[in-house]
Amino acid sequence: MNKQSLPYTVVFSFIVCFVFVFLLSLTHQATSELVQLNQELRQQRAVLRALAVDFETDDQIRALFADIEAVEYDDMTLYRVQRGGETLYARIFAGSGVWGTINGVLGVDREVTRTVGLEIIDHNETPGLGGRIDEPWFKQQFTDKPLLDGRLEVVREGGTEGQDGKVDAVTGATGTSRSMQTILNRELERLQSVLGGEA
Amino acid sequence: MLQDMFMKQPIMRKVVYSLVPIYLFALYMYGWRLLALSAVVFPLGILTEYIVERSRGKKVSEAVLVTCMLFVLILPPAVPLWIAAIGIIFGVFFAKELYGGFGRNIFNPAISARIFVWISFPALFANGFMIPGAFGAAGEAGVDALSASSPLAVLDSGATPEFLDVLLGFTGGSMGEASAVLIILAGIYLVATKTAQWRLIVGTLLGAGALMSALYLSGVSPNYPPQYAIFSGSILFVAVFMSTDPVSAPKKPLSQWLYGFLIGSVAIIIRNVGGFPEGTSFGVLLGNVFASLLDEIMPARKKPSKPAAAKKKAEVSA
Amino acid sequence: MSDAAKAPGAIMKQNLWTSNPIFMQVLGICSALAVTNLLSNTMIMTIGVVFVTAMSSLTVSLLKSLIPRKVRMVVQTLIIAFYVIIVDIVLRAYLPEISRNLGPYVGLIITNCIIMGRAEAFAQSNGPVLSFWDGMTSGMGYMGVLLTIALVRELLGFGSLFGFQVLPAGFEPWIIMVMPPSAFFLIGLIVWIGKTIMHRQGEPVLEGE
Repeated sequence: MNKQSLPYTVVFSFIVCFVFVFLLSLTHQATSELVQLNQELRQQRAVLRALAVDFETDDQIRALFADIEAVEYDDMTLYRVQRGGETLYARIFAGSGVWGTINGVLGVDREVTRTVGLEIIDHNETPGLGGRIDEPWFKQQFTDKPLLDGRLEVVREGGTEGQDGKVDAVTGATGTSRSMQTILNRELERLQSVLGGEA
Repeated sequence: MLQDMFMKQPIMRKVVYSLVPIYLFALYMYGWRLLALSAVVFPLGILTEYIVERSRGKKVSEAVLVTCMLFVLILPPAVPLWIAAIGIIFGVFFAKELYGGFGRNIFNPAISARIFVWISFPALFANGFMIPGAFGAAGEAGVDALSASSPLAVLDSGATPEFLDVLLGFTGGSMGEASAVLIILAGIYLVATKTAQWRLIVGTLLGAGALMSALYLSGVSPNYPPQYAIFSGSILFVAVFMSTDPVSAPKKPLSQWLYGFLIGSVAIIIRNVGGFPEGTSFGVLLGNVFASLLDEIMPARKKPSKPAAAKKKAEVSA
Repeated sequence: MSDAAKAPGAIMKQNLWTSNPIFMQVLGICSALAVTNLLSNTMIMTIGVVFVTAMSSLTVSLLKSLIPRKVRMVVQTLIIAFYVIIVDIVLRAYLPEISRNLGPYVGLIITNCIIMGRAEAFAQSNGPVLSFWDGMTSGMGYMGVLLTIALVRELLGFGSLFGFQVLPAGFEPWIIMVMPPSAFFLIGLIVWIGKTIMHRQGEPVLEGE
């Protein structure tokens, strides 16, 4: 058979494509559920962290997340949880950082007088500089942080522990810190507009 | 012994002379910090060049003294000594010797050194500024964030520093950049002795000044009045000592204008819009990148311009 | 290629050293700059490359007598893409964190010239076993260099190795080491050191391709 002929080439190309794509589809099918689960888990973990719910294993995440209600306010999806007689809310946000979008979850109390927690889902900030917003020390600052006039300030000089409405910036990362301040305050305003309105 | 180690480069020596008053002024402002940094930078810079050049069978260039001196003067005073050490070794080795030593480097070694350590350790740089004066005693006495910061940072925060202070240099900042008067005098000396090309200096200042005025007048950056912006920060220092570096600057008159303009405007863009407080070093590096290209695309002249020819001769005689 | 060069040992020496894809042929530089700031990411990524080069060389070699000349390149690309997507899917399903850190770079293994280069230069004209071996050692030559770069970058940029803090807490991380430009300096140094050693050993040095 002439392997350089047009019919052979067409048939061969078709078979090769078919076989490889078929195998790929099989693999994709076999793992798609797992991939989906991973993504859900990621989001659930972030929401739980922002609401300062403790967990250890992945199973716990699923169990705990079952207690959380997703509620719609206007166009916003808020995650609501009851804890210690209080109602806490969290919302997934997106905003522009220095290099790209910063995605995260911010948790607040019912009256939006304090933040409950912050979790970063993903970001493209400079690793080791702005990227340090993803480090525990930065995020822990938002655990039960009272707000000042409903706002947050990211302070460059640091030493803000115990001060209302102020958190330490990442040293050297002026741009990212400024972006975080903008994103978070805009987020707080939105939360206030929906939560504050409903007395 | 020392005579054998260095090649003679009269041009470079003149640059060193012109830097002496600025160095002394910095000594008054920051005292032992300047001496300590010099004690680290000079031996390491010379040693790095010596080791590489020895394997080539050549002598150390006097240009390395200029590199070391400039590098010390563009450091913040309280920067840790080991950072200065890393910087100068990197600058001399990567930016100069790897390209083939004196006369072949594309990038200005002092600026490369500064940028490398600056990007690596931004926090230590930001905290490296001190209150100047009284041979460093003022700085050691206590740290007051605002008065230790450079006039640029003061402007950034919306306040206005005393213009006379800015002009005379009694302000914070990197060690050598403060005194506008001394830098201008050094510039005049360098141009008068044909050591530096005036087009490069004026081009850089024009580029910076024009863009700065435009940004100020259009209200984009109302915190930076142009007269301050020229005399604060390192624009003047960079215009006089960095953009005039005979090795990394272009040789044709028109490309020299463009080169200076590029450095000045990039510096201002980064200063006003970018994440870094000052952008002159980036401006110089970017200018360096385009230097040979600018020379290449300029129409050929009938005969080489005088300064370029003089420089060639100086290199040959060296 | 002479018969002597086709001995497995000789192939390995070539791919790991005398014509190392990174520092002799200067291939695959993009990923060498981008994903080498953490050892664990680099490790996973380069294992992926080893797998893809080995398997695609094997497959190309098996199919070589069947492939019409006209569509040779297209079929090679298809085969490579197939293995790359497999790696991507497996990472996403079983190592989601690392998959996220690597971002688009797993998909970009497809564009890694080393793989296509080996398929075209070696697998197309050699037997399956030898091709598999050639692909694997090529990938390992790439892996060796990338891990060396990552070792320096993670040590200086984070003070850790494979995520374990090895330098004392007072260590000031070099932020530039975390960013891609530092890999340029390091690759340059590695090329320099590699070529110098080869000159000393009297190997004929390949001056780039």
